[in-house]
Amino acid sequence: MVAEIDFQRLVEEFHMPLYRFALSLSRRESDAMDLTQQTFYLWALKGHQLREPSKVKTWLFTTLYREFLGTVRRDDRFVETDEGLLLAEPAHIDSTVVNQLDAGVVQKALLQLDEKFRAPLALFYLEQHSYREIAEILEVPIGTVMSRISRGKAELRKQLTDASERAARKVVPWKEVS
Amino acid sequence: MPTYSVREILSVYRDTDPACIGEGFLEARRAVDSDPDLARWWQDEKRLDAEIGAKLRGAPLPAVLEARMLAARQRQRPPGRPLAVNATALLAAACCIALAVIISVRKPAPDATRSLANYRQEMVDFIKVPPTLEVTSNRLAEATAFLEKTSAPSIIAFPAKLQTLEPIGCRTIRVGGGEVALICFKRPDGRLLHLFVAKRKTLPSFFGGAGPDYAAQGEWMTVTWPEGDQVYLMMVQGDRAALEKYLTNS
Repeated sequence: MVAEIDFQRLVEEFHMPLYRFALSLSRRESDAMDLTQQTFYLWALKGHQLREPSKVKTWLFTTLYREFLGTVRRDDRFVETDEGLLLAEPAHIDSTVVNQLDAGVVQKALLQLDEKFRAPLALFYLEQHSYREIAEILEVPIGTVMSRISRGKAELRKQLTDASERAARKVVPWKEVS
Repeated sequence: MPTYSVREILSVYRDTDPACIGEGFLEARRAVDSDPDLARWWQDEKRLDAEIGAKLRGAPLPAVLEARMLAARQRQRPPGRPLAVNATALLAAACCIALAVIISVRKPAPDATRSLANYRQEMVDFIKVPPTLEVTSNRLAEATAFLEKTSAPSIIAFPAKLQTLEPIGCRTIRVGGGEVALICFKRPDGRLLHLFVAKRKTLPSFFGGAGPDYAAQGEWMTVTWPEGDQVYLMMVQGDRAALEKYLTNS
C-alpha cells in the first residue's frame, strides 16, 4: 500500500494537468472542474489502496478518464477497437505560426477534434506521458495510441492552419489604422 | 523506405520512449541521419510539437481551481457522477436489489420523498463548494439565453420577488441523465441564493404537494415546489424566513 501521501502536495502537483486533461475530454470548464474534483475526492477515499507509489500519476489520470466515461451516455460512446498501427504524415506548419497564436486558440483547436484523438493528444502534449502510460489510462493497445496521436496531430494541424488563416484575415477597422 | 513512410513513423517517434523501438523506428532514424532535408524537417517537427505542448500548458486556468480541488477532501460526491464499478459494489448492488424485491412484495408503495431528499442533499453538497458558473452576468436574460442552448429548462417561472435580486450567473448540472439549470442570485446581505430548475422527468418520483415544501439541510434551508412540468428547488444559508420572502407567488 502507498504510504500516506500529502493530499495538498498531490493537488499542487497534479491539479493543472488533470484539469487540462478533463477539459480536453469534456470541453466544458464546469464539467472539467467537476471531473477533476471528483478524481481528487476518489483519491481521498481510495488512494490508500494503491500499492505502487510510482503509479499515482497513472491512477489519477485513469480514474479521471473512467469518471468521464461514466458521465457519457452509453449510446454516445465510441467502441474501442485495436486499430493496429495506422500512421499519417502530418502537414507541415512552421512552429512560428503556432508561436504567434494565442494559447486559448491552440486549446480551442484541440477541443474541436474527435474525442478519440483529443484524449491521447492531451496526454501526449500536456504531461508528456509515455505511450505505455497513455495506453494504460485509455485502456487501448500502444499501437492504437500511436495511430491516434499520429492522425490526431494531422487533424490538429488542419485546425491550427485554419485558425492562423482566420487570424490573418481579420480586418483592422479603418479608424485604428488612421 | 520512402520519405513519406519515414515522416509517418517519425510523427510518433520520441527519443526517450521505450515503446519507440523496433526495425521501423531504427530505419527511419537511419534515413534522417543520411538525409539533411529529412533531418531539417524532423528538427522542425520537434520544435512544432514543443511549441504546441507549451501553448496547451499555458492556456488560462480558472482562478479558483486549486482551492476547489483542495476542498474535494471534505466534499460529498458531485451530482450525476457514478462511482467506478467494482466487484464489491456489484455484489452490494445485487444484495440491495434482492432486498428491494423482497421488501416490495410486502410493501408495494415506494418512498417517493426519499428521492427528492437525495436530490436536495446532492444539490446542497454541490453548492457548499462554490461551483464554477458557465455564464457570469447580472442580466437574467443572458442567463436564460445560455440555458436555451442546453437541454436544461430555460423557460423559468421566476417568483416575482426573486426577480428583484441581482443575478450573478448560471450553469447546468447533470442529474440522473437529465440536465438541471442553476441560477445564482446575490441577496441584499451579499450572500447568495441558488435556484435549481429540473424537468419532472429528471425526478420521476417527485409527486409534489400543493405548496412549497421546506427542508433544512444543516445550515442550509431549502424549498421545493412544482410548476407545470418543472420542479423548483431554491436554497440559501439561513432560516426559513430567508427563503419565504422570495416566494410570494409560488
